[in-house]
Amino acid sequence: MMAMNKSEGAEQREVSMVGTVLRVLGGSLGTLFCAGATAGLVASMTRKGEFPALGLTITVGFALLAILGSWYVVNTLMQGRNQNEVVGPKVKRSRAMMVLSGVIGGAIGLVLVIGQIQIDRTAPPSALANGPIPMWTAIFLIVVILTLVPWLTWQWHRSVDEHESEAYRDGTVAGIYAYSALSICWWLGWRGGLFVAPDGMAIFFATYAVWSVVWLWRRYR
Amino acid sequence: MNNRLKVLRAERNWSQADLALRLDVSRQAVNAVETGKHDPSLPLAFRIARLFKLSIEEIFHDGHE
Repeated sequence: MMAMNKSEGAEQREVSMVGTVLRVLGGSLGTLFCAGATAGLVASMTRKGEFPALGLTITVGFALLAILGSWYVVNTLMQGRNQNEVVGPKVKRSRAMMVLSGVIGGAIGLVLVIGQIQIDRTAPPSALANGPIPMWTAIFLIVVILTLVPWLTWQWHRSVDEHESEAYRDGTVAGIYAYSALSICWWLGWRGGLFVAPDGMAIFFATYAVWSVVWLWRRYR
Repeated sequence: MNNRLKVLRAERNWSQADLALRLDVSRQAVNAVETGKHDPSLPLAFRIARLFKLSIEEIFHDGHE
């Protein structure tokens, strides 16, 4: 009887988990679509230098839908977690810090896109472009990255458990080795006429990718 | 390092998430300790021992006995 109840419970959790994953996927796709439509409309109106009432209304509508979609995805994730797993205060705090980091990362990307549009209205909006941005946007982002991000990182390190901390350390070591190898090889290849000049952001993202993959692999393996 | 965590947990009918909640670590941490992929620090080993009211040696052993 106990085994049957356990099996039923596991099955219900599985069904609930599948539903949560589907809702999160659907919500994320809808949110991405609405955010993309908002960015596209803003870029188009800025490029033309015209802001008609109808265009603004539709843009605000898409922006509101994107915000609602984000709220829906976060809410579904929180509900799913509450149903399936109750966590301790430190784990809850470390997860909240991760969500906050994602929100800050998204906000930094948005500020970068807006800054880029202010300088060059013709270029496609991208947070990863190498084009110029206004000086005050750069100063604001530098201050955020040097103050808010270290504080958040410190709080996160204080709340993670030792397994996560070890996984993060392994990811960091792999990242620094990847950085050393990639930056030196690219620089040598450039000097030998094999490659284009080293791109700092490309090296940063490659390092970040190695670091994240190893971190997540060590955490969830 | 080998351990009896899974057995001790099963005796109390606790899931990994239940044990993680009691230790205030993530479920992944409990799984990693249980499967020997992560050796717990002394403070965590003491917390585990206190929770099960056993000594550390009664839960963890290095296979040299």
